[in-house]
Order: sequence, then C-alpha cells, then structure tokens
Amino acid sequence: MIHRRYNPLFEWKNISLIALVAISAFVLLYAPARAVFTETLYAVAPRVWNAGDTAGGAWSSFTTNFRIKRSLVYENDMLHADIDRMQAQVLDRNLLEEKVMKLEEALGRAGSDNRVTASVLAGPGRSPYDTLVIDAGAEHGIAVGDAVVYAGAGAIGTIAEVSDSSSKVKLYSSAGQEHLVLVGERAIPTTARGRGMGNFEAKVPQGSAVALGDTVLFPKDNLILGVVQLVEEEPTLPFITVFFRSSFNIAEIRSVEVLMGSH
Amino acid sequence: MTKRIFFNLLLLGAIFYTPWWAVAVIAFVGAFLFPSYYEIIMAGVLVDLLYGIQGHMMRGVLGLVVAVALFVVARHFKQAVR
Repeated sequence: MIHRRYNPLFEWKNISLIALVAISAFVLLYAPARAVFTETLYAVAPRVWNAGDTAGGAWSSFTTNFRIKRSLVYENDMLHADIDRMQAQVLDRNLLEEKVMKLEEALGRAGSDNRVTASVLAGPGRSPYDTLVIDAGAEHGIAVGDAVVYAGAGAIGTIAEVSDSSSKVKLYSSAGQEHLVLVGERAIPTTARGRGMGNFEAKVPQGSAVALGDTVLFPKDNLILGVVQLVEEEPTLPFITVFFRSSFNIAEIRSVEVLMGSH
Repeated sequence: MTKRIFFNLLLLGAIFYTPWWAVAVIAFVGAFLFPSYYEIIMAGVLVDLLYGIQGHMMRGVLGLVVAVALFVVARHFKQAVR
C-alpha cells in the first residue's frame, strides 16, 4: 500500500491562495492588463474621493459651528497652509526677476508655458508609494513626463500615469530617485537623492559655501526643489552632506499646476 | 457573513480615505478575525492600482507583497494564540 506524504502546500486553501496571488501578480505586472484595470478603476475612483472630500468638508463645517476650539485649530491649519504657499511664492518672485533678465537677454524667446491647474485627490499620506493623484488627465492635454509644480515654481514631481480625467504624479522626493540640482547662491552642481515625503539629501565638495535657507534648483527650468534645512560637515570627509526639503508640506497641498509639454 | 461584509466595506473605505498604515492595520485585523481572508489580497491589488506606478517601488506590486505577508503572518499568529 502506498502512503502519500502529507504536503501542506497542496491543501485546497493554499492552492486557492497561490492561484489568487498568481492572477493578481499577472494583472499588476503585465502592463496591458494593468492599464485596463487601472482605467476601469479610475472611471469611479475620482468620484469616490470627491464624495469623501465633500462629506468631510460638510462634517467639518458642521462641527466647527459648535466647537470654537476646533474651529480655531482648523483656521490655524489653513493659515499654516497659506504661509507655506506664500513662502514658495516669495522664492518664486526672486527667481522670476532673474528669469526676466535672462529672457530679455535672449530676446524673442517665448517665455510662456502652458499650465493646467488640478486638485489633489489623494496625497502621499494615503499612498505607500509617495505619489499624488490629481484630477486632470488626458482630457486636459496632460501627458506622461509633464512636470508638476506648486505655487508657480515649487517642483513636486512628474506625471507617471495618465487616465482620461486623472493622473498619478511620481514625486521627485520618492526614495531612491536621483536628480541633478544646483545648491545655494553659487549654484553648486550636485546630485540630490530623494528620501520620501518632500525630503532630499545631497553631497557637495568640502569647503562649498552652503548655508541654511539656501534654495536648491533644477538647472534646466529654475524650478525650486527645496530649501536647505541641515548641513552636516565632517572635517575628515571630502564632502558635506546637505539635507533639504520642499518649502511646503507635500501632504497638505490641495492643488498643483501641470506644465504641459515640459518633458 | 454580515460582519465580514461590513468589515470589507470598512477596509474598502480605508483604502480610499485613510493613510496606508491604517489600511495595513485594518487588513491584519481582518485576516486575524475571519477564516481564509482572501479579501486582503484584493485590497493589496486595489492599493497598487490606485496609488502605484508600474516600475516604481517594487515594480508597483508593493500592496500585493505586503498583503500576502500580512495574510501569512496573521495565519501563523492565529495558530499560535488559539
């Protein structure tokens, strides 16, 4: 009589789990299948987020009528968001002056860019991927690779996936992402590495003039990537480590601008 | 069965409206409370389709990988405490 050895891997429950995981992996890894499922999902998802925001807003305004403390906290949050936006705009104004001078020198060069304003449906706080979902898509002329900015010139990321009426934005600060940047007043070129949620790290040669509050820019279009928050200097090392972050809180932004045709 | 349906609705709502770590906690609780909680795999796929980008961070299957890990850990945890 032959006795088959019991193998828990071939239990019915395990077989169904393995089959489900295999089908799921196929859907996610096979690009055409993923595109079809994402497109179908995004026919509904923006409405779900909008309904949630509307309900949340209504509930918030209802409760603030009765709770003075909560309304003050809410107002405080709004003012903080405004300050973040204004700080980014002030940085933008300084760069704008420089930009205008360069444009005047270049005489005749077209200076206007084509922008689309979009609301943020889901931010990096909800997403484990450090991505933003915005409510503008192919219908609005947005394409993969377009740059996304906040308050005029605060660089956020690039469009990574486009649906009809929404898009996913891959943040520049996503962990492991590397970008060529210029640091400080002397525009020291270096490579910045994303650390997630609007934070970056870069190394510049020892002796470079970098101070707290210096701006970090993209060399091509003068978009502001961040402001230096910390400079770590070890005399024994040949470089200085510069930590910088976006001048606004990425988790709290409500709207962004997409620079169409910027890729 | 009704409890399971309500819990699935809660998980679905969490995916859309709460931070990812809250979704992970709710999914783990579901995998611990209900037998063969395969909905956790579907939740992982939904997170990947909603927020993930193919070719970015674990090739865009982070949600699925975490869901499988939570399912396996919850099953072992359940066997250990019961």
